[in-house]
Amino acid sequence: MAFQIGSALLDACVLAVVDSRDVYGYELTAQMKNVIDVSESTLYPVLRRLQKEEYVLTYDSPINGRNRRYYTITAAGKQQLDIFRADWETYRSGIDRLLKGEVTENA
Amino acid sequence: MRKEEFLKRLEGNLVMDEPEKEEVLRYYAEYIEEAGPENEEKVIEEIGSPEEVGARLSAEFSESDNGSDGSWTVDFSEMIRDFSSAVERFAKKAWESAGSAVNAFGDRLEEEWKKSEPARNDAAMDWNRTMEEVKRTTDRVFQETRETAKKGMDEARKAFASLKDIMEDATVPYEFADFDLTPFHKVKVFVKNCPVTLHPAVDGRYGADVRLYLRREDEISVTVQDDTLIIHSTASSGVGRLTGGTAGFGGQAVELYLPSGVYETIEVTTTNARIEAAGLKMEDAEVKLKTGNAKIKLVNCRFGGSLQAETGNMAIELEEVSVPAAVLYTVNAPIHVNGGAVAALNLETSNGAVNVADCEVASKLTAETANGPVRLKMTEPAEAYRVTADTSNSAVFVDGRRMGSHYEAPGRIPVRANTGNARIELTFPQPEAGETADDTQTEE
Repeated sequence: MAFQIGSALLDACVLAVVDSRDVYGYELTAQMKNVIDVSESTLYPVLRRLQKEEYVLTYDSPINGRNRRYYTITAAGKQQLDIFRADWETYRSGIDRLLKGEVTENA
Repeated sequence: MRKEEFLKRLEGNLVMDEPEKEEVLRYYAEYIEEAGPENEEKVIEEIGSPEEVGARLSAEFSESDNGSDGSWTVDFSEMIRDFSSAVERFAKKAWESAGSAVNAFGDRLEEEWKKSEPARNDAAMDWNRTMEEVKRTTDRVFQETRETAKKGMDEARKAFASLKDIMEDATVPYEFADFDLTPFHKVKVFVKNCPVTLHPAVDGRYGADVRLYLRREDEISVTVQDDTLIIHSTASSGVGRLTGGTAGFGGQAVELYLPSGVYETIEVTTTNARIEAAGLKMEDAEVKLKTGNAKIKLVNCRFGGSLQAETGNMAIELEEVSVPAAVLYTVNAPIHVNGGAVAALNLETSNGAVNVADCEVASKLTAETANGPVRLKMTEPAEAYRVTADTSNSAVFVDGRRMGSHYEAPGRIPVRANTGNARIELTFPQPEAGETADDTQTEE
């Protein structure tokens, strides 16, 4: 696999996962690992950044006698995710056209 | 390793605000606990070394109010790709200029490089493995291009110049080893808080290890100017800056392995980190060592040229060092010269002590302090030296006998000692057996 995932794209992916449902750290890492090659150490800064931007909030939920910290998306996070999705669509379709060898003539 | 140990070691390697540290530790504690106690060791092994995780996260979070636009995140893999391709370009240029004789070898190198591509791509998101892969490949490349580098010197220099641009953006530990220094006749090192050690080259070890932890605003350049190799880094020792120590990220160091007889100039300047050399033998080199507030220590070295050493508030220590001329200067710290041979020895400190013992001085010795004692234990009997010793407010002692505040004696080799407010003590070897030194000590 030749392509690396940039940081903005990682933010978008994590936000999308959190949007689909509240997750805790271990669960998020496990889910994302199924799709792309990431580690908990890659994801931690992403989660912190999303928190600082107030796109996600955290809450604790006791389980088996200890705490589990969940990440949940905020309204601002949902808005940002929409923007990410639109950006990605533009980006993805542009790359697709280039890779398929379609000539891009600018109007 | 168990969870407690991992978290403890991680904590020790986190450089950031306290609240941020707690968040990190909580995240990792929780992550490890989620895996279940039966999987604890396995999951910790997967996470990797706490030292490296700590270093990575510290680079991300050490400035709490950094721009929140995500611009802190460095694309590690891009940096590695650039570095790898610079190495590749270097290898290629070196081959081209050496001619067709090495084309076959060049093909093999390229083949090796391509073979490692799957491993490199798999490792793209895994920092540890990626750096290991790069190091392995670069070690191999440098090792095998040494001969050709000598022939293709101009091309090699141009290729090395590009490393400066790439490394300017690094925010992570950077390490390259066995960097071949043979094409160069001068070596200059400027670092801030990173100790520098000079070693003589040994079998198979012939070059430089540079391990520095760089932050976004730091710069390291390894440049070549004419026949001078310059290693220049502005990196501070991250932990040192916040906690006051320089131990920090385990192993920050510049270690140079210098073959003898090659260098005209060796210059090392640090801001606050010690410079050490042991067993170094240089035929003609001028060696200049300077630190702000750290020790300079040379043991069992021989330089055919000259030695200049300067520190602020930490000692200069020479043990069994031989050099034709040496100038040693500190502001407030002692200077110790033990053994060895320095024909012309010049020592100066404001508030430190000067201690010279058993060093052969064939040509002249000058020792000046303001407030510190001067103790000179000479190797020849007193008659060999023309002594002029002056103190303003104290006294000169010769072989234990007090001589007043000023003392002169005729001889061949000038020895000049000057202090302001402290004593000067001169001792000479006693005459051979058969004559007894039975002067009684007299007090003024």
